[in-house]
Amino acid sequence: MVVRRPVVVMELPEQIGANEAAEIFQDVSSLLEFQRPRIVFDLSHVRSVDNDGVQMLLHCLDEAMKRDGDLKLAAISPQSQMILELMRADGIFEIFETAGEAVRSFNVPAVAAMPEDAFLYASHADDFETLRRAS
Amino acid sequence: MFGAIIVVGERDPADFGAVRAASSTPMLGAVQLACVEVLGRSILEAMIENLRAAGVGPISVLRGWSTANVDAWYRSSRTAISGPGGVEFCCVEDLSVAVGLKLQEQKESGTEATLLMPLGPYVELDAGDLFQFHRAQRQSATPLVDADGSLDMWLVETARFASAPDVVASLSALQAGSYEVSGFVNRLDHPRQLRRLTADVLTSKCGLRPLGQEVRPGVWYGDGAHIRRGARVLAPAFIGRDSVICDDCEIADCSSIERDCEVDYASAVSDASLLPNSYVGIGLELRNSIVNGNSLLSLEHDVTLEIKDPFVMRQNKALGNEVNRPSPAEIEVPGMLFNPAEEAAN
Repeated sequence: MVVRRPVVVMELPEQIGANEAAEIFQDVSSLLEFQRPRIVFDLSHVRSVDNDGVQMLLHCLDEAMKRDGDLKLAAISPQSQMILELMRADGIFEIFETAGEAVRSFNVPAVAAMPEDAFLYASHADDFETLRRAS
Repeated sequence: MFGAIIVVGERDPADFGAVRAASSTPMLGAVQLACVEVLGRSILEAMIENLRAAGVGPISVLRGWSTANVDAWYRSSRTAISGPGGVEFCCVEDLSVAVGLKLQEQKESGTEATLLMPLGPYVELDAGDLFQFHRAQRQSATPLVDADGSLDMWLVETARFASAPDVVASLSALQAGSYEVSGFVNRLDHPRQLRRLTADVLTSKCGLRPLGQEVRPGVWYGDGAHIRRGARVLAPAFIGRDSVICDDCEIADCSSIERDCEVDYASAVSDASLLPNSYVGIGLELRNSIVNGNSLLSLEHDVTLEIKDPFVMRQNKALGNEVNRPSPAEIEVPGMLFNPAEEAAN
């Protein structure tokens, strides 16, 4: 039986430099321990991403895909979009206008099996132990 | 035939349109786009070359000394223009008064008519045709227009406006027949126009030519441009003086890499301009954008980003020694104030 895990939405901080990237990856790591992790990074508050930030996003995506899961980006600002384009990462991610759209995109094959609001929403600083247990 | 006075700097918005011609983007501050180098030379240099070639002279460039933010770009243009042709650069306290005084000087040197123009739009004029039109109209001032309206340029009777306290105010009040410029015009009122001008030059849609050698159709290299063996430069494109394009890079789609730039390993530049002295790091992709040091302007998103990581983008070389060419001194004119700070810098 395939267990469908809830989609976890993480709200990323305003700036993603080396320190923030390490913190975020540490938080996400717990979600990536399981099979088929389904993660949405909400970038609506992000104003600045540097090279380390983009590397972290790519690393998270890589880890999620290794476990047959996926990581999608949502609500990306033009500034962040520019950085992704500059680093040639824009075509690698699925990018959505809103976190809701990104979450729903995970459920496309089985819309009826999953209520629209069946996702968790958290900032990266929130209690990730709770998220991890739920996931 | 006739003389010319080019006004550089910020004035009242009603005057000369000089403010309108200034860039409003954070990456360039209030620098006038016409001071920025396009394919090896600034528009100021290009305009002066065009005027000289058409037999226009004497030519004076007046710059308000309070316009400190145009210093670096303006200085670069000024030092690039040398040799015969009587181009005179003046730093003045009051542009309105200075225009009148300069007209008086031109009148005394026997100049019959003077072209008054702000540093802003790039215009290719048929000077002979303009002069004939002006004479035939028998008017003291002829405003220049194009299909989009006024260019804030006038051909005036030198004697009529000599020593006038505010020439621009006098001109604004005049009703006169306009001369429609039939040649190439780019108003340079947005950085997007800078890219358009670059593309137009590289595709030979105007008379301006890149400063360098056309090594194959549509590909131009400035002196000392270094394109490493594994790099690809696809026409049309321009690589400026002393710039380096590293292995596995691709420069294409009317891109211009101005002087003293470096595009590092495996980066791609497409439909983009690197302004002088910019470094672009390894493995990046620049599309539809303008880079100035560590500032990146995306024309697609209309957003400017300051890149803080020097391995991604930065100024390529230390500032201050980018201009090595001989400089004609900026001169003091009676009644005009010389900028002591700039004098000290020189």
